[in-house]
Amino acid sequence: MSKNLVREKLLTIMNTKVYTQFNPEQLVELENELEIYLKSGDSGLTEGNYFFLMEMIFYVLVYLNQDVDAQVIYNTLRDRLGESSYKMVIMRATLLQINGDDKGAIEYLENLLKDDLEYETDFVTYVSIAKKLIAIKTSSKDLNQEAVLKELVALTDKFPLDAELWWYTGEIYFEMGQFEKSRYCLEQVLCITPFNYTCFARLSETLYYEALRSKKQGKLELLDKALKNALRSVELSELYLKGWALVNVISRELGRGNKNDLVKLSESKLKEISTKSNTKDKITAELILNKI
Amino acid sequence: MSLTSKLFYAVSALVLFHSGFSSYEFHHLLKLNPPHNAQSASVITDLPKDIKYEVYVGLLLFILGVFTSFEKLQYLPIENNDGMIISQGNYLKEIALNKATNVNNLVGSNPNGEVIFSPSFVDVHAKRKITREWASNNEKKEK
Repeated sequence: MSKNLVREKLLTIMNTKVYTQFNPEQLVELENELEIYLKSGDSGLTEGNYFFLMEMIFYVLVYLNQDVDAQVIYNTLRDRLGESSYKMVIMRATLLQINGDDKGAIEYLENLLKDDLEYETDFVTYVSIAKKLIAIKTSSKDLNQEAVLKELVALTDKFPLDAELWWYTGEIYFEMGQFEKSRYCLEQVLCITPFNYTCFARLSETLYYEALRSKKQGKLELLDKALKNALRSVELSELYLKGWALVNVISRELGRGNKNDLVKLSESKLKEISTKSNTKDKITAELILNKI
Repeated sequence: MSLTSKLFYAVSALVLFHSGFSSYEFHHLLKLNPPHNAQSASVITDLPKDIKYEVYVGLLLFILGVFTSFEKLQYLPIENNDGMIISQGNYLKEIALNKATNVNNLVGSNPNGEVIFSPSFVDVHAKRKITREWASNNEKKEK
């Protein structure tokens, strides 16, 4: 197998952060693949990307409970890059977390934010560390959902251009069933990343659930908006499964029958996805088609 | 890069080098034996046609070499680790966004993952717990 292909795959996993969603089996496979790849010495890998891959290995090892190896990776990176980078700070906080010292990690990050970063103009560092702080507080059950939301909203006030922050806030509102607020957050994400077709589909989904809950008059309007957003997502990505599934479901909810153009088109696209796309999407598309 | 394209590059480099050397030789001889009158000068000082044609052939071979060097774009799926290589049969990437994103759908990646997977908010303890449970289940199965 060509090294170029493996490199591209690993860099895609690193850039899209999909490893944070992997199950344990996939994490073990990824760790093995990374180890073999880095040992093979690829001349096409830039130094910057090498460090990014090392950062990814660190988190994979943390998720796999291989604390000693994670500490070794952290030490290697620290010796090479120093401790001042926000990525290193977050890694150190993660190490404190896994050593059972959540309070220590919170204190460490809070001190950093209060002492230096509050007065610096480096907004990437501040917001990244503040996000990690919220994550630690959430996982250590220091904050309930409403308190988390309060902190998130305060942070979005301070940094309104962080898409991830808006997305996460939107997800929490969605879980709480506050679809209108969730919608607002997703719209903010779209203002920052206008070609984010996943977000268009999520917005459509939120509108759809909101429509199902609302009374007759507002329902049609919301469904219409949901359909437009679903169509926008597939306009940006031709074979996006969730987008086409939403187009189909919403069109039917709007009372359109099997002969409607949109219903027909979405079915044909779902059929195309069931033969052309990745394994997971293929199976899901088939399931949706069977249900339809 | 395929063998054909390498061959084209090598031959075109030789042909271009040879035509360049021929041109140098021609001008060198012209300097040593300058034409005696103006009428013959206009005829003789022109670069011979065979050298010109050699340059054209060299350039043509070079262009063919570039075209044959293109290979079908290939990808590895993100979540499967069985070594299966995916290809859409294209030599170049799509330009239109709706078509270009099909590659992401095909390999199972999401270009907006940095936003939608909320990597900064991962619950490390929960992740580690799931892995621990998975490992202990595996151990039980092995026993």
